[in-house]
Order: sequence, then C-alpha cells, then structure tokens
Amino acid sequence: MSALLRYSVKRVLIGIPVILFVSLFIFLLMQMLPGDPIKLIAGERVTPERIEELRRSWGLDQPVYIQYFYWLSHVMTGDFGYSYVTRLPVSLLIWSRLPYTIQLTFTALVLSYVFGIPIGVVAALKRGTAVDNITIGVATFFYSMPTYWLGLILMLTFGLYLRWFPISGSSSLESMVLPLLTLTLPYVAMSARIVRTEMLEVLTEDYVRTAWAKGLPSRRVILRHALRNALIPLTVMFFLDLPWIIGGAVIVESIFAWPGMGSLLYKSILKQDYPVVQALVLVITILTVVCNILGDIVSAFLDPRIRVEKEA
Amino acid sequence: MASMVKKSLKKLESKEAITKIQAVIIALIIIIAAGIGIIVYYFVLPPPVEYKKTLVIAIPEEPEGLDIQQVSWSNEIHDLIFQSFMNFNESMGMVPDLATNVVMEGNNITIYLPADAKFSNGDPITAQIVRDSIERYRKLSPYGSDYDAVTGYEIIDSHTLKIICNVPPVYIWFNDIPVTYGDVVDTNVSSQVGDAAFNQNPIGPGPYKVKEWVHGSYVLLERNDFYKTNLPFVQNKGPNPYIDEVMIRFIPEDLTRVSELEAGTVDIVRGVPSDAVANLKANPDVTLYESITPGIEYLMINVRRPPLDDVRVRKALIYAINRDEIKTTLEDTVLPCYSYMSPSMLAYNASVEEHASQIYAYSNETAKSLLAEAGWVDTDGDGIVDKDGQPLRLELLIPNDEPKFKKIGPLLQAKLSSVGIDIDYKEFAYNYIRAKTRDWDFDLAGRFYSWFDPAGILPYLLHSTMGNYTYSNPEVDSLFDEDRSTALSPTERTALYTQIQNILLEDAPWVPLFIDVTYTGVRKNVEGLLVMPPFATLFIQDVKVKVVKGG
Repeated sequence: MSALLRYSVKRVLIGIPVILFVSLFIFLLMQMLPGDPIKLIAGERVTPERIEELRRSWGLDQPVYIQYFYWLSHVMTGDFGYSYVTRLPVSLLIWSRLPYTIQLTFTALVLSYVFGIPIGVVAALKRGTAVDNITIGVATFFYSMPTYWLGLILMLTFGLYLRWFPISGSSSLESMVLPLLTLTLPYVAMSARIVRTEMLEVLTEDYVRTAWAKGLPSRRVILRHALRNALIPLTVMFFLDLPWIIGGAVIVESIFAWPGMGSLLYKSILKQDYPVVQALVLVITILTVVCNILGDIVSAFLDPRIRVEKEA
Repeated sequence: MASMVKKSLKKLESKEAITKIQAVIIALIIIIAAGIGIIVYYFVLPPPVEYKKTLVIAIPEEPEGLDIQQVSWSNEIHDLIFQSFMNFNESMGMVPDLATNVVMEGNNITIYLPADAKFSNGDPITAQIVRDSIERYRKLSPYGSDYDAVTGYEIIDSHTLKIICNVPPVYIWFNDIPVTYGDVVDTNVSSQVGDAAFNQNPIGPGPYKVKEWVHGSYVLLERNDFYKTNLPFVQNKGPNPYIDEVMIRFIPEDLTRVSELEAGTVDIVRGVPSDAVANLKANPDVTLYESITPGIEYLMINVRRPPLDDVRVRKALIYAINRDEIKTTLEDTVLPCYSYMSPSMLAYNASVEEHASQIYAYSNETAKSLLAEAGWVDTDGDGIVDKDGQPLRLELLIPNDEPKFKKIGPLLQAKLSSVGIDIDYKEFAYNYIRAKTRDWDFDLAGRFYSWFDPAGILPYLLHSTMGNYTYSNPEVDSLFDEDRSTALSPTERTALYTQIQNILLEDAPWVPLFIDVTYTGVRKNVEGLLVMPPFATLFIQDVKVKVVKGG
C-alpha cells in the first residue's frame, strides 16, 4: 500500500467520528435554540391541548437522547424523517432542490475558474501595466460589491428595463443567466486575484528562471512550470468550496426566486424545522470531509513535495 | 402526368387561351382584392382578440403543503384546489358554493350536496365522503378541535349529511362551512396514497387541480373539468374555458415580485409592499385592489409581570402611541386602530372604534400623568421614570419578518421613550415572538391576528384557558363561552362583542396599533377577476387574460 493510499484511508477513518460528532453537535444545538418548534408551527387558532397532542405525535415529548438515537438509526437507513413544517419527507425536499443548486452554484464555481485563471495569468504577466491595473481594479470592484446590490442592479437593468432575460424563476436556461452572473462575477474576481498573486510569486522562482534560461518556449514555461504550481492553492480552495455548493446561495436564490438549497436551509432554520436542518448540515459535513480528503490527494498529485512530506 | 401538361400547353397556344392583356387584368384584380383585404383586416376590422391560456400569479411564500387538512395557513393554491360548502359574498353574507344549501337548525348542521358533485378526479362527492373528510380533519388538522362539539352524523341520503352536535354549532357554521380549512377532501385517495403523498397532490372539488409542484419555485394547476359551483356572484358556474392552467409562483423578494408585474410576466401579484403602492397606482397597466385585513396589529402586554400588572401603566402605553404617525410612517397603507376588531370582521361595531379613538386619543401628557399616578416619576432627571429607585424598563419585541411592524418599531420605541420608559428594543422572527408570548416570557410583543369571525380568534388570544396567554377575566371568558354555545342573531353577536371590547378597553391587555390594508396588483389585461372579502380571495371563474402585443 502506497503512503498516499495509507494516508487517505487514515483520513477516511478519522472522518467517520467527525461526522458523528457533528451530527450530535447540530442535534443538541437545535435543541438549545430558543423556542419550541411545535409552538412555532402551530397556527393562531390552536388550543394548548392541541399543541400537546401535536408534540406527542412528533415524538417531541421523548427525552433528547432517545430522539437523537431514533433519528440517527433512521438516517443510517437513508430516512431523514419528515419536515415538521411541511410534513413532507426531508429527502424529497432535499432531492427536489439539489439539481437547481448544483446547476447554479456548481456552474458559477466552474465558470469563475474558467474565467478567473486566464485573467489572473494575464494580469501577472502584464504586471504594472494598464492591463494589470484595469483587470485588478475591475476584479476588486466586483469582489467588494454586495451580492444583494449586484443582483438587484442586474435584475432591474437586464430583466425589467432591457428585458433581455427573465427577471426571476427557474423555468428556462435563460432564467439562469442573471443569478449566474450575480454569483460568478465576485467569484471570478476572487480567483483572478489569487492566481495573479500566486503567479507573481512563482515567476520569481529559480526553476522558472532556469526554464527561461534554457530557452523553453514562453507558453511551456508559463503553462507547465509556473501555472501548474500557482494553481495548487486554488485547487485546494476549489475542493473546500465544493461542500458549500450544497448550502446554496441564500441571497441570490431569494432575489431571483431560484428554488435552491440555500433558501431551504435558511427557511428551515428560521422555522426551527429540525429534521431538515439536521439533514442538510449532515450532508454538508459529509461532503466537507470527503472533499478535504480529495483536496489533499489532488494537491499531492500536483505537487511532488507534498507526496515526499507525507511519505516522510 | 406528362400528357396532361402537354395538353395544357396546347390549350394555351390555342385561340381559346386567354390573352396576355386578360392575364394582366386578372392579376391586377387579384392584387387589388388582396390589398383591400389586407387593409380591411388590419385597419378596418377590429383585431381578433387572443387570450392567454395560462394565468400567472406571484405570491410571497410557498405553502407548507397542499392538503388543506395538513396546513396551518392556507393560500391561493388551496382556494383553487378546494371548494367550500358555502362562501362569502361582497357584503360578507353566506351563499352556497359546492353545496346547494347548508342549514343550521338547533344543534345540527345539514349539508345538501348536488347529485352530480364530483372531485377533480371524477370521484363522486357523497355524504359519506364528507363525513369521512370531517373525521380526517379532526385527526390531522391543527384546527381539528373546531369540530369538538360534534357527537355524531346522520346520512339522510347519499347527498345529504346531518352533523349532530351537543351545542348549537355556530362555531362550525362560521369558521368551517364557508372557509377553505373546512373543505371536503377525497378521503378514498388520501387513504390509498397516504397523508404525505396526498399533501403533495391532494384531490378536491375546486376549479383547478395539481399538475406539478416544483418545490421552492411554483405550483402548476390545470383546469378541473368536473368543477361546478352555485356561487351567485360568478357568471360561469363551470370550468373556466379561457384559463387552462394557473401557475402560482413563489417570489419572496418584494422588489422582484413587483418588477415581474411591471414587466407583464406575471398577471397577478399578492402582497404588494407598502413602498410600491404609490408607484403601482400611477402605472396605467396595473390595477390595485385594496382589502382591509380581518384583524388588527397590536402590542400584547404581559399583564402578569410587574409593573404591567397595573392597569394605569398599561393605559399609559396606549396613550403614548400616536396612530396617525404610524399611518404616515406606513405611507397611508393602514387604518389607525384603537379597539380590538377590524371592519372586515363579523359582529364589528364601528361605534366601539369611534368611542375607543376618543377615550384613547394620543396624549403624551395623559400617559405621563397615568404613570405618575401609578408611582412612576422621573426623580433623578435622567428622562426615565422610576419608582423605589428602579427605572421603568420594558422589553419591546418587534417581528422583523413583518415589514410594516419592522418599519414602525423605532417609532414605537421613540414614543414610549418620550413618556419616560426605558425601552429594550429587540427584533425576532414573528413565530418566535408568538412562542415567547405563549410562554409568558415577554413585556411587550408585536402581534397580529387575521380571522374574520371574532369567535374563531379572540378567545384563542384572550380567553383564560383557550388561549392561555397572560390576560384573564372571567367575565370575558363567560361572554366568549356564551357566543360559542348559543345561536345568537347577528345583532346579538354584535352586542356581545361590543360588550367584550368595552371590558377590554378598560382592562387594556393590548395596545391596538393599526389595521393592515393589503394590496393585490393585477395587470389591466386581466378581465373578470373578483377579489372578495374577508381574505381578499381571488375568484377566477370568469377571468380572461387578453394577449397584449409587445407586453
């Protein structure tokens, strides 16, 4: 078994108790939140007796540890239970929104790298020129702009006044343009800035200078020697960002009425819909553990020094 | 084929064939006729009217579920899927809808169904199904206790059901018979598919049925071809031939919802925010329907916690608030309120509101003198009244998810501070504040109610045992009990609620603030829409939506 494989297996084994601990932590945290979920969901015209009946029917009159083990044993079989608020299966609520979330946030993440990397490389290569200044100025502008404001400006300009794209909704590919732009622009800016900084650092390294001195073509020096190393932090960041794709983008989803996971998580926390919040946090936790491991493996693949350190 | 062509050519070459001049003349005639036709079609004849087949409605919040028996609040979707036995007309009189008639006699209610009444799947609606539906409601719904007075049923025939109660069933009569919550559901289907599945795709007798529910985005309804109604105020008593589908979109962001209406991409918008009202009123493509909410917005006072157990302190709070300033702050989209009921409610008495507005007219001085009478004076000159060395400090809970309340929160804080009360201002979600008031863990809490029958809401907030909030008065309890168990005439009910309100005005358990006015924005090309009280319910039986070129 190679050192990298051994390391990966070890990480997976550590990941399991982490997931269990987080599940317990979030369960207790939800219990500690002020307010009683049954009183929160019960309407106005409800007697105290009816509230108690509802509490019994949801099993909330049981001690917390029994509730936790009951929930955990069902989760093991893939049953996340039922939402207190909608009375619908939690898995159904999650699965119905997951495609929309992946469609929007994953696309935004990929596009941000597709555009951010070349912009960052060009800015680094043209360091100190007008191209660099304009590129980084625009990037800083979009990076510092509040998402809410950017979304509304894009919606009013391209949706209401110019009518180029639908104002909101999720019924067509065109509906995706404005929310995607709102999400992608700050991400592109962030990626471009990271790539530029990393490239500037790498370009001064001895091995790059050697490559230039050997008379290698510029394209080969930049892409194979400089960019490959400059991308390592961005790669790790990509894997760390992946779990939060599931969390969605609450503000953008709200502005553009996009039916993603962000609004589901936000609404469920507000309404203390424990089963939904617990399921979503558990899914995000599992993804975080998995993506961390994947991030380590990929960065080790890209950077041989990491492999050597791990073997040592 | 080839021989036919040859024959035609020969004919043309022959003397019988038309000359070139004749051909030109014929061609000219054809061109002129076509030209005249085009001119008449485009400039003389009225253009053919086209109608949209899908009506699009935007609402702020997605429903909890679609089965009316499993939700704690209903919306436009439930109104379209289900159908009440009776309904309200414009003057809040009860008229038949699904039923041909419903009669309350003694301790019984008898429902007469049409012989051909059907659910949207074609299943017949029988007396037995109605009985089963009521029993399911009693078990499942948070409002199941509405039917606590029911002791039995008598199925007179397959389309006539008698509900037998142990008291005159006035409560059921007003709070279930004409209301969506009390509507019949197809219990045969619900027991086959299970409650969870039925909550996603319920079967009712309403004008539309569920086609698709994309969670978080929209519900698409399609026409129910079995629909029939007895409503006297709609012309079309069957399925609407113009509207095949109704798409109800969930758009939480106010600006987005209003922008969709302005762009013409939705036909009807519910929950128009107060800051968009003036703009939409000026928009020539939009009609705004105003509806007075059947309820009030108020500050609930914890009457058990000192110093609020002193009625003089509670009355001082009422005097300290200026309702006209609230109205101005909310851009005239509310009505000032001094009493406990709204004009959109049954048993409303305008003279109570007039009397309350006189006795509780805004007066900073009266508020201060009442506090002084209760021993609260500013002895150290710090602007805060005190008693026995303790400053008068009260926690004010404002719901941050209720835009109008959130907007007037700072005003309430300022007005109460101006009479020397140190206000600890806090904002929370409304449901959390409601839970805190249920636990008696508050001083002053921003609350509201919205229900047209006072018997169906006020006891839950002010009766000692039904509501279990901090206020308790045996006299008020017995008056509520009397209304629930006695068949009073409308005049007697109005007198009873006048009496209750007069006691409440003396006891001052709430600070009434305002009555909300809700707005429904509708594109001008939507014809035949009715927006009816008490809940601004949309009746789309006669709706047609003209296609607007370029719109």
